[in-house]
Amino acid sequence: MPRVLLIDSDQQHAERVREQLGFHAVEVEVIPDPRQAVAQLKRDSADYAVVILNVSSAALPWADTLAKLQESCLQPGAYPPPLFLCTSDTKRPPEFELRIERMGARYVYEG
Amino acid sequence: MYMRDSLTPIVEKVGLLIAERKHLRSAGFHFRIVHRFRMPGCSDCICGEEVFAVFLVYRGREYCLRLTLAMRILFDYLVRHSRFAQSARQIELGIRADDFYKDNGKNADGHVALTRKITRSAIRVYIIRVHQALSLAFQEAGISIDTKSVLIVHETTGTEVLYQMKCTHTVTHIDLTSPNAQPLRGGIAGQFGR
Repeated sequence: MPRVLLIDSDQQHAERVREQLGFHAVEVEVIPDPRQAVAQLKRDSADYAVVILNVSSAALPWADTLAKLQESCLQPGAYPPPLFLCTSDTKRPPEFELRIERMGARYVYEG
Repeated sequence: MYMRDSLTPIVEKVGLLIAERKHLRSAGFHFRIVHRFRMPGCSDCICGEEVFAVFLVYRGREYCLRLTLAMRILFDYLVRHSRFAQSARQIELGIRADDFYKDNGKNADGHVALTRKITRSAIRVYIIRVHQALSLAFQEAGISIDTKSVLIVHETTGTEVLYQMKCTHTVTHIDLTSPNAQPLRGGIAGQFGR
């Protein structure tokens, strides 16, 4: 069963995502704090197929956070590293999406 | 029963990413190798072509690997023989024995080959540089990955190490445009096919 790490401070949203992915036989582990997630990925990045980062809050520097999370997966032997998906329930400008995609992650808007 | 709601795009993207990762795990990354100076009418790689450029292909975009001539030849060789892990000595012999590399770029003017003598000791250095070039391309593509999982360095029970690429590739050809283009050595083009 593929495992997904969901970094989401919105507990209700995280629960809904966990439930939906559960229907598709995807196991979801939720971590609310990105810093905790960095530590977790440094330990066990090979355990996860995908890392989902909820970037809905406009207050945080998501590009830096994403870069730190990606760096924490850079370990010898962990091949391929987990792939990243950024998700947002607020509409963002195309530049935001492009920046994320240039960092090798995918972006999805929960319209 | 699964219902379509605002989270449907997430579910769909996660499915896509899981499939993408599964493919990367089984096949590795994909590279495009461009060979220049192909004789018009030839369908496969033949002697006299030049290993012109190498691109990492990722999510519909291409990222050029900054490789020198010797490194392009080495990369081409490793990718074409990716089923086998080979020592520096085996790689040296393989390249030396292959007319394709001996005559690299010779179709351009019919006389001078654009090639390098690749020795066993140089291969170790080139491998490090290829890792660096891969690292730059992966960085540009936003891929966090240890390049040693793409160009793998296998330890052996002895002192020798073996090198192997884990990847898929396609070769794209650019035809020679000279109106007097003739297959190298005047033979039938297919005769020298690889």
